[in-house]
Amino acid sequence: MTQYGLVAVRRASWRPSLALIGAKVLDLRKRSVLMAITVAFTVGVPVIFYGIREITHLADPAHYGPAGATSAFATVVTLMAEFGFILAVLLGATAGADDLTDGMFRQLVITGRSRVALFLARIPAGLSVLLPLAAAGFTVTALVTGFLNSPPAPGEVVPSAGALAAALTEAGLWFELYLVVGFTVGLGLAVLMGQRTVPVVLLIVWEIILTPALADHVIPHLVNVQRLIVGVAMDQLKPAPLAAASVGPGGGRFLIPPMPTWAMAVVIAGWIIGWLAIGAWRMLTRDA
Amino acid sequence: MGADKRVVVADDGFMLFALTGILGFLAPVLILIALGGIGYGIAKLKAKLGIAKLKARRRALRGQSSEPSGELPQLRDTTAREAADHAAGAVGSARPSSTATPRGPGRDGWAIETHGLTKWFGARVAVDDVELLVPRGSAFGYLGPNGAGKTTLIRVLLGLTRADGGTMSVLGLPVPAERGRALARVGAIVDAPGFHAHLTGRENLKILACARGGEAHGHIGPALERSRLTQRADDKVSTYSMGMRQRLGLAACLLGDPQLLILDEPMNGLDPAGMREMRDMIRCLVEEGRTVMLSSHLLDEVERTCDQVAIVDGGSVIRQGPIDELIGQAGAAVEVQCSDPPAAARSLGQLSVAAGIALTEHGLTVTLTPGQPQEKADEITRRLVEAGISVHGIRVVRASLEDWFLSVTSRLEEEQ
Repeated sequence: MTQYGLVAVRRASWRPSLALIGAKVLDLRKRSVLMAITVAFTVGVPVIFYGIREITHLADPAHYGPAGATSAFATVVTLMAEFGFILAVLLGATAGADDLTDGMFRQLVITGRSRVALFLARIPAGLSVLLPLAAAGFTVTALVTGFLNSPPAPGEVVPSAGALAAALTEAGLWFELYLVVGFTVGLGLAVLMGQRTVPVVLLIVWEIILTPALADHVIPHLVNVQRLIVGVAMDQLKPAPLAAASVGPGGGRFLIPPMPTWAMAVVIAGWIIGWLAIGAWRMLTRDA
Repeated sequence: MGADKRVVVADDGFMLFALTGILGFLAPVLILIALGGIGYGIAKLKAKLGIAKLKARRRALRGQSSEPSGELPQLRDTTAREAADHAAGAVGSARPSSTATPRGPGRDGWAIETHGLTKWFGARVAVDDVELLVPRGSAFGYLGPNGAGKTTLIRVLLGLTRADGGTMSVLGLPVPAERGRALARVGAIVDAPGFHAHLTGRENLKILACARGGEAHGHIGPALERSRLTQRADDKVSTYSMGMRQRLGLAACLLGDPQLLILDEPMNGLDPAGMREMRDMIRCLVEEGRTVMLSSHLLDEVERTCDQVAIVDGGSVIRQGPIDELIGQAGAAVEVQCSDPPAAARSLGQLSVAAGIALTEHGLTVTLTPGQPQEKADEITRRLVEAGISVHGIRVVRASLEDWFLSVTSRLEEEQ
């Protein structure tokens, strides 16, 4: 096979090359406003939160506990998850639609590269920007919880280091999964609609307003439909220490009767795979 | 602490949950797919009905055009445009297929070859049964008025949108079956080239090079240099002028060391100096053995740049061939200033080279039959001198591509 043939075969492949992923990372990384928001929503949130707590604690230790109290951990992770979801949607929508809105998509298609490869490259590219920063933010939270916690009360059972690490890991993985869901849904919807702003607004409304409205009460005969809301599945998958962050009759959870773990996994995977499939289909069929 | 400690409510039943869950999730997707399928089917049906109507109309027009017109040039006020008009009429038909002979395909076949290519947008045909042959190693102009379907044809060729009928090949490879291989050696600008405004020119090219793969990265520097953008390569595209973006588009085309460049209105947004540079660059690319197909409505630029042209109107290619040959068919006219124009008209009326004679304010205009206008002008001069008529001045007026184009398209409009 000639060199020309080799190049052609690789170009027709649906698998995105590392170079293609790197190109998308470059595109996202150079968006200074987006990157500033990303840093602020991932690392900035816990830093500011704990900073204020630490300052108040130092100023008046009698009234304000240390920054890394267990209750603060749950609150800050929940806060980070809310901000993080919005950020993930924004990043996903940007990764999905910026080529279209900038007119670059047509140029990329003209290169002969598979459209599926062009689409798939956006997933690792976007996540490689989002997840490390989210992990950094979560690491701040974990470190503060580990080292700036209040001393145990007399008689209090102190969890072992292993149990604490397991709990932190569980919370961290849940947090990252939540962002992955936001990113993929944002990506798929943005590719489907061919723009960024409307999908971002729609998903924020969905997450902040519609999901709580639909999931706060059991609707007779439709409970299984309610369980299909990804926010419900994520809420039920939330580790117990995080659920304790909010108050309410559900103990911090929506009032939908719990579903088995495999069902949560199916719903979450369904949302991720479903929206990615929709995005890939639209990318394949879109007129450039 | 985790989800495993949660009590599972079993009264709903796992099976019921699973079934309703899966169906509940899939239902919107299935509905979307079903709606899409119905819409696609309706569009296809409409397109088929439209094609049938169009074919019937085309058959009717061909039937009309096969009748001889019977009209010969009359003694009238003849201009160069009318001379071209006459020649176009002499060629033939109302909606003919291509009349001139494109130069041969060369050793490796045609650069672009389409047969019966058709594209519909709803009930409107944008590309209508196009038969196009673009020879390799030439500059080929795809000419037409705005809305004639030039950009749509290019988009179909590049796989940016799907064709509704016909076959096509690019660089000898069938498209869309071998689209990836074909486009590996194609560079193209469609409409105004779009780039990420927040990135520099070099970074944009880097992204496109990543998509192209192979040795494209190594071509970034030379492509920038060739497009005279090296000095501004590290500035953000948001600071570029329209002309600079156009040049960056050309640089993007060159990344893949293309055998074929397809440029859609490449002169748009360029100042006169920029247009000249673009023209020179296109000629240079052709001299390197590449094929350049450009669409334009700037006839003068095409005439200066291209070797061959195809004229498109209403989505159809109505003429194609080498420019010299097409303009040659259009013929020419001779403007004569002399001492006795009426006598000169009578004298020249017997000449076979005169297709028509018209008296003007200062003399007369002789419309020539196709071929070798200078020799015919010499013959006219000799005849007038032999007739004792003083010739004050004689000038050959050749039809331009614009004259020919307008005559062909206006003729079609009249016939429709």
